[in-house]
Amino acid sequence: MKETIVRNYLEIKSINCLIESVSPQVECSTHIVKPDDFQINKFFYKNVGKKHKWIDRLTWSEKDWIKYSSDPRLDTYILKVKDDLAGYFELIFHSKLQEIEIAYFGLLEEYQNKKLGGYMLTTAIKKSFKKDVKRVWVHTCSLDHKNALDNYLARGMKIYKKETIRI
Amino acid sequence: MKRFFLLLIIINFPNLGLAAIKDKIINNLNSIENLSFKFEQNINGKIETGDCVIQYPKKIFCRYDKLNNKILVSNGTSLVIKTNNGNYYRYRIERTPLNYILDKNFLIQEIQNLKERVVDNKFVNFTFFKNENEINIFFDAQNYELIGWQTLDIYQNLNITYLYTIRKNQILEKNFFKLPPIN
Repeated sequence: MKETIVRNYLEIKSINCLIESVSPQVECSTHIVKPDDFQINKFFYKNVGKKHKWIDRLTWSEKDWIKYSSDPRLDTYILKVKDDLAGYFELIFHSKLQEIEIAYFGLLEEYQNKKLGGYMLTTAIKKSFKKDVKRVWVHTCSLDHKNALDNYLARGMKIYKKETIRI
Repeated sequence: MKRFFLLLIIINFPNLGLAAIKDKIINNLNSIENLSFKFEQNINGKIETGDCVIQYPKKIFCRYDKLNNKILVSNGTSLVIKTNNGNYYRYRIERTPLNYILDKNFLIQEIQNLKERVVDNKFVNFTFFKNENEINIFFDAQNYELIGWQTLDIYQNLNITYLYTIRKNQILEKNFFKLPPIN
């Protein structure tokens, strides 16, 4: 049975447009994954995505994951809460266009609704603008977490494209 | 009447045998506080080997033979995977199938309610499903020792762990399962 979903594309064009979130009440920190470790990308893709129909990479082999995670254009960051893995985001640098795409962004279920998404998105946008970029963009759809779109808007991102698709 | 009882015994004999196997496996599990063993792990066809110590409930320390001196440690609540090339990741144990495999009481409870499968008269296998993971546990059909497990998640990642050179209830140092520091 086919399902209709709405996909929104959002962007932010300057660090000055960023509306920082309040700090979470829990001890947390963000770290880049270096050296690359495909297990981290895979772990979060599977565990965050299973509630949101992230399905296109389920058939990826280990080789596919290694190729993806070791792409020099990709930076993977993890959020730790009291040293436990809680969430992640992936930034893809498109150098010719001077832009960064937030490719994947998500929290494990037990860390949702604790203001960590706002903190993590603030960090993602700040990290992105440390590179020489003209904009940071992301797309989110109605299958994603109910607070996802609100979080992007609350950080100062603007919708620049909207589409309805059937899957 | 005698014939009737005889018939009942014959009909139920295989079940009595299997019930005895289950009881022996459960009794054996009950007698284990910790297990030390060598392991061979096959994850989607890639083989890794090393040494492990399990202490119920939910504690494990494994040192891999190669793979950048990889170690895997659970203190019962968190699971750390650390390599000497700088990777250090801490997961809540509930996020991993080890949350069930390393819980003796959980295993016993499952075994009591499950039908076993005897494979080639060598292994006794129990299969259960938890959080979208299919978990298989294997015991030796002769001595009823735990000899391995196999996990298959909904994404078809297959992890087969085979245990050998098993020793039970060794004296372990205090803090044996303490999580390693990041550096």
